[in-house]
Amino acid sequence: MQEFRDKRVIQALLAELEKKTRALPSSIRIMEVCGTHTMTVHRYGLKKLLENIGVEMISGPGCPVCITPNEIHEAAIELVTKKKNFILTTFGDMTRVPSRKGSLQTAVPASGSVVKIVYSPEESLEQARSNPEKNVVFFGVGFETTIPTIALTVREAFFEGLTNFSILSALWLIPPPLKAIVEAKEIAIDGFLYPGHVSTIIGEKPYQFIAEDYGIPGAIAGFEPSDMLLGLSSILDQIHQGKAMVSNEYSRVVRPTGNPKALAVMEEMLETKDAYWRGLGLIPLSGLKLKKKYSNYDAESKFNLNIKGGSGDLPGCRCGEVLQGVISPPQCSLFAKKCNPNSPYGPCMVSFEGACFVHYKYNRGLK
Amino acid sequence: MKKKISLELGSGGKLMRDFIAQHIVKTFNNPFLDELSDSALLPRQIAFTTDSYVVDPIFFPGGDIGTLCINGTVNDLIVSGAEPKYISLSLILEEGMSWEELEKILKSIKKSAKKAGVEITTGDTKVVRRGQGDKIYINTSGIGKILTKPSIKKIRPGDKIILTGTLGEHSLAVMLARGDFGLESTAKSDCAPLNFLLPFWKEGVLWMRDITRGGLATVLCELAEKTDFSLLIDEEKIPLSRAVRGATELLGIDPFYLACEGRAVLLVPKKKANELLEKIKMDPLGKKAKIIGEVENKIGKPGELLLSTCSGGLRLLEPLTSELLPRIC
Amino acid sequence: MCLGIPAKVVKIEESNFGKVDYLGTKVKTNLSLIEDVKIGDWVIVHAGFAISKLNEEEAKETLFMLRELASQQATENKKNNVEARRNNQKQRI
Repeated sequence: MQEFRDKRVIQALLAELEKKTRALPSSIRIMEVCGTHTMTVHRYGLKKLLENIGVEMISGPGCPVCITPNEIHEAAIELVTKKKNFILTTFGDMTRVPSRKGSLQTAVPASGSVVKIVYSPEESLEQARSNPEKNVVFFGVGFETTIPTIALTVREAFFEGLTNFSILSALWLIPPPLKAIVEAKEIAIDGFLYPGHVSTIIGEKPYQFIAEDYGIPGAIAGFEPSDMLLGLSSILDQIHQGKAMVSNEYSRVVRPTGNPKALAVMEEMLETKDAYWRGLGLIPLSGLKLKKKYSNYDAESKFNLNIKGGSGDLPGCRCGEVLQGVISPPQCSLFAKKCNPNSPYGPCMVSFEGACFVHYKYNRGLK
Repeated sequence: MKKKISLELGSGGKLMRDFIAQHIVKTFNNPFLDELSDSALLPRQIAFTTDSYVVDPIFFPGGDIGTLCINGTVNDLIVSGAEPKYISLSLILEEGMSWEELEKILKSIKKSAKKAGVEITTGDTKVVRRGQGDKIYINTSGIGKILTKPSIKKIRPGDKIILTGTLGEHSLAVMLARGDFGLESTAKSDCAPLNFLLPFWKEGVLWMRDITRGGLATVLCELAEKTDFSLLIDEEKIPLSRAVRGATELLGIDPFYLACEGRAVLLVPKKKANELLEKIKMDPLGKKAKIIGEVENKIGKPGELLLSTCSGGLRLLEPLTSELLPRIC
Repeated sequence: MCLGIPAKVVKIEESNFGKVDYLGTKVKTNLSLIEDVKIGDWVIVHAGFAISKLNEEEAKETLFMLRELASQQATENKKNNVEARRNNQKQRI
């Protein structure tokens, strides 16, 4: 693993990239779709190094915590503050998202209720087994990487007959928002760096339309610094050759057809729905929900939550535009002022891979 | 909505520092408190410090709340330039706690005090109703004799930063003991008294801090803010154990923010750096010590902490903003 | 959120569970999303689940290529340095 981050390797890759960008008339703009890529760019100080050789990286919609609309966060807060004997389990970042009702961290749970952070969705099942008198709700958020793990967790509960477990789901698909971003034409994107671990599940095919219908080059890349640079290198090659394709630069992990077992579990348990994304609005067939057969495990129907579609952004917050790549975080007037990691105002300042948080943490003030 | 206390306030991060500055210092202000150092440096060469221990669970690989409550307080004195002498011990026990556990903790307090060369000279015991506490909370205060006062004002560009050992084992050990996330590892807490660093005060050390809550990054950010320079550290030179490297990557957390209980970071004059490093390495607790960076006036702005990454990039390190693990000390 | 770490499978239980090891840290992992997993395989772990098996051939190939690139670059740098020094000397002469 260390070799993928090694200075000498990175320098060699950057020198290769530089040779390729030198021949181009202007600098190019690449969208890294995935929040984990955003992390790598900043964690290893690549942002500046890439800018120096004419590659501008912009962050895409790939932070599930960020794009989950406020209404769903508020439903989670509502559950744990109004209902007694509730255990709400979720991933760490989710507890800090601010909404009109505060965040899960500032909320005071009803008596006997608690918010518990988990590493794996399956930890929620253990909670349900050992607390039969309580209702356990997993506030499950994620893209295709995480969705199979959540689907499998519900499947386990179903076959085990666990009746005190359900999920509040915020499950999002990556290809539909990419289409929305390309069609909106608000920004010119010269290439897409596709998310390595989402691709592990869905394979290469779901991105083909971007190359074929819109002529935009792209590469699937892993998350080590050299993986990302290899991805960029391939995109540059495509630009030079005047062609667009989906090249797989993470072949040690990603198979062309994805992970059939994971896809089968998703197919078995879930169905698509039109879904609201923060900043991107309603995108057709971009979300997933449990099939009717499993509605007892769907917290939304089990507890009659009636979650309305996305309108609840806090006034002045420009996270929506950040998520589309239309503005970069410092262009928001709240950035690093009213909105900072100590008291985040918008979701992109919350998640450890939110564009604003990462920008604030790693890049603020660096010349 | 009425403002309420969140766990984050106690995490050792920026929120806590703001709270201390805006509420504690403003309310009780006096020249000793205003310094906000690990110990108050009082007249007649007396150093005075206090700390409360609420770690959960109370036993963990490599130590327990008893070893912690002595070493933590003793180390606060040592990094302030004082030789630890006397300790007070206040126990807050929860009704129903087992005798056996209490006795075990008292035993480790005795053992740790002996090792650190301090005596327990006064104390207090209270019991609260079941559910109003969590088994045992301990407060200790310590008095020490000042040998040398730290001299931040003498820090100059080129001076070196020495780290006395690997980062984050304490945080990891507590996490393991709690059974969090189904992790298994051989990591043990680095909890230890830092008495071996005392003689170096006489050899020109300019500043010293033990790395506790907030980790290396927070401690160095606080130092940077107090100087007119920036600090630059090198990711490749920062010693990390295999166990910490593994666990932090698996969980996606940053080891520079993990707490230790037996590690310190020293600022030493450029000319003395290599000689001091060799001496520090002679002690078993300093075996893995390294020069990890230096004081800068060319890169970054004054008051900034910068990391040159293993991939050759440069990034800014901020003080800890949100807690990684509650109740680790 | 899409963090995934390559780790080695060290234990497989009947119930689809196993343990994986990354630099000496072991973590309980659900193996049911991948096929034909054996002890010693490398897998990508995400949120307590193995989501993909690592193709060691491909990994080796990528690593080999990176190493080659780095050593090529090193030679190129050396060449440039030598040239730069020569130029310097010329200037002095």
